Amino acid sequence: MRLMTRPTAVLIVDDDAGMRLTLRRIIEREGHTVFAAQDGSEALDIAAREAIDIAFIDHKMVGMTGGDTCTALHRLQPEAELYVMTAYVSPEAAEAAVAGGTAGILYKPLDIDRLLTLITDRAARRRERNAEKEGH
Amino acid sequence: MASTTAATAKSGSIATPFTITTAERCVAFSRGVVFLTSLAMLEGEALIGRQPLSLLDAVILVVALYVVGTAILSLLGRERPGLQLPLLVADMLLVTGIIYLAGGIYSEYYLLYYVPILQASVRLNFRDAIASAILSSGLYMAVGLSTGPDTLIPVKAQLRAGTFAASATFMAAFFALLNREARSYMERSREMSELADALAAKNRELQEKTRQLAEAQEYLVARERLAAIGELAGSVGHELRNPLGVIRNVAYYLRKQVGGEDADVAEMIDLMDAQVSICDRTIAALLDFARPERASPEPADINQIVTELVASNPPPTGVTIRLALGHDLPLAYVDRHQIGEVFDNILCNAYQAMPGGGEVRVRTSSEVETDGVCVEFADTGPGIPSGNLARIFDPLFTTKAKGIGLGLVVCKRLVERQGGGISVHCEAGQGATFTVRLRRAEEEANETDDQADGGPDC
Repeated sequence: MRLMTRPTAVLIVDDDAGMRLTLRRIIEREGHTVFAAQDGSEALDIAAREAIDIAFIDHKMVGMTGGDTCTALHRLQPEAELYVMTAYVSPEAAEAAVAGGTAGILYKPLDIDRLLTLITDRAARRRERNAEKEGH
Repeated sequence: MASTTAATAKSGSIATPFTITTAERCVAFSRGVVFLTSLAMLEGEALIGRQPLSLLDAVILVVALYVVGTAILSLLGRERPGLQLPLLVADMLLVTGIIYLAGGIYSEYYLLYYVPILQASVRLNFRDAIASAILSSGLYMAVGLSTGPDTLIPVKAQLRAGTFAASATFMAAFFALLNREARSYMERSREMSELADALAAKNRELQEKTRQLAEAQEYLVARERLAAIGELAGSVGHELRNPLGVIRNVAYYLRKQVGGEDADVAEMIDLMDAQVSICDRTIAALLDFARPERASPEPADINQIVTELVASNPPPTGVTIRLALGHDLPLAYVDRHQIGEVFDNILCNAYQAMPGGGEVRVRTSSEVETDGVCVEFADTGPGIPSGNLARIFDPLFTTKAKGIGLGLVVCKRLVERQGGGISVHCEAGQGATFTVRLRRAEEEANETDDQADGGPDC
């Protein structure tokens, strides 16, 4: 029962402070927990100590790219659903997304409603799985 | 001769091949007349006191026909060059025959020898002219030998033959030299006119080349400048997308947080969001221009794309929109996203062309000739001035107060990349009609290679 009440953990990885803040405010408003990292290594630090349900990772960042970050995050937390955010449709972003075991690509400017739907869907699936575990 | 030369020089075009001169024509004509007259006189003399026709009449008739035939050929310039010398020799033999029949060496018909000699000097070279004079003299003397009393030629006859030989040779030499001068003069003037023609042609060629070079240079400069502008615009556009994304997020947050309480605030937030969308559209065009996306074409229902487009782009106040969707439209082979962008751009242009209101007619149809799909956007705006029509698909060309002039360029590229075409038709005061032609989906299997080299070369 305790597990069910834990809010969905969302990780935002973006080197733009404005993007991090606005996404944090919007997602927190829906009652989810938000962790924000400004680059890949910070994201991995967070993932090392927090359980992440879903992550949104900017493709174009200084240091580790979104694709590299995805690959590393996937290794740390295979359960986490990973999405790459990109401002421009490029073959590289698409390749990175496939290579990193991501669930999909989101194009900027973001469709916030869609982003929130992805989070609530993820939360719903987690609750279903937990309910199954409780049942056994 | 002079008149021919003048005509050659004046015509100035490609010089005609050297055929027959006026002098040659005169000589050929004289030959015909003189020979026929002589033959007629000979026949007349032969007929006197004789009733039935003899072999001689037949021979004279055949010879007359021969003279007429060769004269006509000469006058028309149809004589074969190789036959000239044999014909001259034949003429000399003919003259010899006439002289023989008309009384031998004392006959006045010896004057006929001058005809082939003159002809040789005018039509052949100096050597042949002299040779024909000598041959004529020889033949004349031979007549003297065969017709003289016994075997001895009287002194009078010898003098006569000698005088003829001297005058014939002199005449042959004189006319041959004169003719040679005339010919070389004509040849030179012909060469000069040819040279002048060639020079004029070269000059025109040079002018054309210079013009092409200037055009190519202009094109290169424009292309380089465009590439630089495109590069810059692309990176600026990319950098602008992030802050715009943040603004859009802020708008979303504010709408959720306070929009429900205050209708005015909600309106302002919607306005902010709409402005962000406008910016984003401009950036999309810039990015498309700078770094074109690859097309991923698939079979698509154009009617559906058009319907969705119109639903999401309702006309502004005062403008009505009328859809005429074709039945049994084949699926087109297009990139949905890109073709949506193209239609969106054309439709928005149409709306903007009618600030005072009007009507936009969107018509889809299957095209019989090219076996494709055709989409027309016709507005009732003022139309496009004919001077601008040719430039409407040029980069950075715009007539709008707002706008950077990339919309239609990108449209054209996107459509062409998918194997289609875009054109504009405009009649004064009738508004503008944009026509987009697209490939139908069945072709896809054969032409998958096409999408590989989709990028424009700019």
